[in-house]
Amino acid sequence: MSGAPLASVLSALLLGLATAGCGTGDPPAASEPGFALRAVVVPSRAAAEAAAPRASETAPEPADPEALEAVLGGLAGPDARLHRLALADARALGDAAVAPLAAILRDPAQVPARRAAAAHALAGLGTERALSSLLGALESEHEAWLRAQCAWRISTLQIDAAVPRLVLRLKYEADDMTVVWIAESLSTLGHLAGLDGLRVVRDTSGDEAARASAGERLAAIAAEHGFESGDELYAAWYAGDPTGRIRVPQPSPALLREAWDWIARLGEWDLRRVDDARFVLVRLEGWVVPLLAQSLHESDVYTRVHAAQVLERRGARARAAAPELVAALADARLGPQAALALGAIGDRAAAPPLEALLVGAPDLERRVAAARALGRAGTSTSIEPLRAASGAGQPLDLRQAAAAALVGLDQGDAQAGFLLECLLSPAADAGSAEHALGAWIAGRARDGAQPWAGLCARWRALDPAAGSVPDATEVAHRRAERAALAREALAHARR
Amino acid sequence: MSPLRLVLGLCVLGAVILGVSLVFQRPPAAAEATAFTSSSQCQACHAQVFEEWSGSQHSQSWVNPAVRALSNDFANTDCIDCHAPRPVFETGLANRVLPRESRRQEGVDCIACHQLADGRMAGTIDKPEAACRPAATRELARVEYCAPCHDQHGTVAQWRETEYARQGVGCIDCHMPFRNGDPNQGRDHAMHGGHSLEVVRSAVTLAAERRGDAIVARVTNSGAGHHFPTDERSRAADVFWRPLEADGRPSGPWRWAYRFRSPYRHEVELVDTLLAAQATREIEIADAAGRVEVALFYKLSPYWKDPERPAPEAEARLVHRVVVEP
Repeated sequence: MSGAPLASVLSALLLGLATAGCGTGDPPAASEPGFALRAVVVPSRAAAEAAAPRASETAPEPADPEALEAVLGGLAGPDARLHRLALADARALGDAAVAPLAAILRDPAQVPARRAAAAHALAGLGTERALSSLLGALESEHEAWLRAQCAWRISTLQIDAAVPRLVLRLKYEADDMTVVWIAESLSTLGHLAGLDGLRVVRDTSGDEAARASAGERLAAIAAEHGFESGDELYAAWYAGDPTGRIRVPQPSPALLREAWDWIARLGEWDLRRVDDARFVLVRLEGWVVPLLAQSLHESDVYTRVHAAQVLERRGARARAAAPELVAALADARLGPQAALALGAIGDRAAAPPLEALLVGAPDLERRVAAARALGRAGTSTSIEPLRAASGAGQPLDLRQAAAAALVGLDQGDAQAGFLLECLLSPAADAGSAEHALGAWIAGRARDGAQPWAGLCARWRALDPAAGSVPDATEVAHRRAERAALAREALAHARR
Repeated sequence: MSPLRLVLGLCVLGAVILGVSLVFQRPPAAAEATAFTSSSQCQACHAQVFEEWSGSQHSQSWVNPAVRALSNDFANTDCIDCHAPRPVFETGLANRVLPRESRRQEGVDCIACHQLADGRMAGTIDKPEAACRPAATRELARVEYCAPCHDQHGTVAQWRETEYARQGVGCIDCHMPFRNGDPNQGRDHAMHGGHSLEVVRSAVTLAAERRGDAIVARVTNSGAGHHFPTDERSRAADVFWRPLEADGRPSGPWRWAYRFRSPYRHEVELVDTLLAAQATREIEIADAAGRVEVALFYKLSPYWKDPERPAPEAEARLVHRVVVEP
């Protein structure tokens, strides 16, 4: 600590004063001075709903069956003029047509052409209730062609409130053509969350038509945003659009309302529903970041911790939340997750407060998280406090996290010996030590120089086969071989 | 005064002095608060419990190779909440646990289950002078104590629908029985469950009978206080059958007949086939003439190496088998 920068020491003192009263032997208090907690989600949801009221839960009386048959008849044939007339008739029926059309859409006894016509008519209605019906079919119908049909029709609706449910479907959708149409729908609504799925389908699908469609869509979406290729657009999007070239439309009040609904899910009991919410919120466009930053102040601990996890997973795409995350370091329960989010964002401006947390936090949880974060967002000023944290006399978890972080800051040579001890010690986190040693060797091999490139190749050759589940004996064997490799690497590093 | 009266008087006086001193004795001083940073700190005083826990799946929840593989080495960070949890009592009974950053290699450890929000340790007695300052905490025996993690897949909700719930038979009655059945010896912290073949065998029964050329196998969830299998969607139980020679040797390979499992959500083509407590399911096996062996296998992972040719004896555990005569 003697070598820590003055700013870090002062920050640590301030943090220490702010958190005075927490005995080191006691678990951290639920909340601490310096970071205000309040009800955020409930009032925000209420305001969002006032701005964009939901469709009534009471379904209107079903439309006249004869009028409905006329619509379906008009849509069954290839005549575009008849389609226009039928869709105009459908719009005249309004939401009264939704329930009977949905029943036809989802009835496996109906012929496919009639079910497809029902999807077409639902899209033609252009209402939120019709959209919800198409989304419901997309989410739960067993027949892939029907899901693809619904995804395609949703793209014509132009209701951006569909975005979160479309994004979530990407998590579960197994049919490649449906993925392509979901990505297309998202793109027409100004959202690029489908790019990843398109790249996967383009590169790995066993369906040639799906591969071709995905490639074409990627190229078209890239061109719309002024990029040379889909990969270039994806890289820019993933990096948080540092050059500001991606055009993102403002969300409608209905989409904001939906976003708050998904944020509210972060406080739920069922972790699978929470994870669905994280998946969606990570992939929404940048307008959602201020909402998540507000949610860090939510008095419900699960909501605020999971909001921070969303920000962590967004990485550079959460940069706008960095100031709020720095403030959140003062909250005992949120602090560790806030630190990890700052690390994932990678903003070097976060290094001083993280260094202060590493040195001065009253609980081990935050110190360990700060060390991990500094491995990603640290600067040259972080090296000395990390070295101090990795020294003998500090708790083992902190030593190991700090040593791994120093590997991330290209200071691995001095830490590899200790990490090798961790790899072999039952008291340490061997899995994390294995990762850190692998990262050290990969870092030394970055320029392709020998013997590091060779060592790195031998290290990677020991990776378990994709999808395999090794048993304890196999893991022990792999770690023994990697320990030998690490010793060899250490010998080279010391020369 | 007679010597007898003198002796009696002295005895009475002694008893009074002893009684008074006991009444006014100062309570033992409370122990200094200790910072617990590892479950190994518990070992010195609680050697047996520590040994039992060390062999349990709870102690392996972070390092278990299968968990690491299925969680993508915990890159799926959602798994950390329950595989390296902060203390249950920190967020409160029946509330979900939060993930922790330190001592992850200890998994679901002593501190996660026993540390109270005020830093003392939940136990069965109050003993403030002991190093861990135990406080009698009746909540340790409640199902809501296990629920933060084990109800994520509905196990506690399933239990609530059973006769066991109405009778007040909870999680620990089966999974943390008293050592040697003796309450004075405390509860077993090995916490056996699906990894114990003995426990799985006690959960279900298998019977089979011939109906013409077909066989009807009957699987009954006779012993579990929740669905069979439960908790993890990765768990599965399969019914297989194979023909036998007259001398009992198999004359053909195992043939799959039925699977008990709750599918992942992306497996939209599958339905939930878990077997509720006390329920029986009949599985008809057609064209099974001759002498036939029917068996129930249990799997900790739902996938077969070759789904076209599942190898139950190599990839699953035999729970029960019955032979049906021609």
